[in-house]
Amino acid sequence: MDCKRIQEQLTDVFFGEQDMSGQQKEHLEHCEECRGYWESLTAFDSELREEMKETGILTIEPDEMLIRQAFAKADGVLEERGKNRQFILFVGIALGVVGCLGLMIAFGKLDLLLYEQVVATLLTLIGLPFMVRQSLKKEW
Amino acid sequence: MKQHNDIVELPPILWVLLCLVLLTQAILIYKDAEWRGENKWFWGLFGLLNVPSSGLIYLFVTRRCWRWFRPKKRDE
Repeated sequence: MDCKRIQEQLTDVFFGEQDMSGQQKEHLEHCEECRGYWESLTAFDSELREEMKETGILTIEPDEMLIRQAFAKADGVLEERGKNRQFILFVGIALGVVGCLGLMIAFGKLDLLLYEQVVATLLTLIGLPFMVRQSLKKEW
Repeated sequence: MKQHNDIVELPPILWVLLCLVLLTQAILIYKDAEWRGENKWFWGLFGLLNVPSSGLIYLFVTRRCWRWFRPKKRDE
């Protein structure tokens, strides 16, 4: 198991979302890095408890605004990732299309290229009023 | 057939340049359509069909250029 995954699982264990498995315990015994990570978590926990005892604050109310902001930020990041993935896919498709055109040119199939251009132009001319209509609909 | 031969005789570097221009146009259209909330896939693939007519049509439709040619009302 890789340390990054183990540390993610340890965070879940720390927040009580899951119990520590035998495999994780075994990993902690052998891996110094993960043991250090776990110790830092438990040290943070004990420091926090001491601080709470000293100040007399027994519970910390979660800040709704902060949680909302964090969720909004996470949504933004996910949306951005999705957009990037789609963009990469589009560039891949575009490269494929341009590659096909390149092959057509390389093999001298220029008549095909010419037909493609004629068909594309005709379809564009036919489709233009529909595109304008869609755009007008959006405007209204 | 003369015209066809002229196309064949184009230097390869010009074909490469043409392909690059086509690709750049498609990517720019895709990004712009995404930013404007238009159908980015449709416009992006449309941008791959031709250069520069696809780009010009994209600009015409998304910038609502027909408004420029509409006769102005008297009170405007």
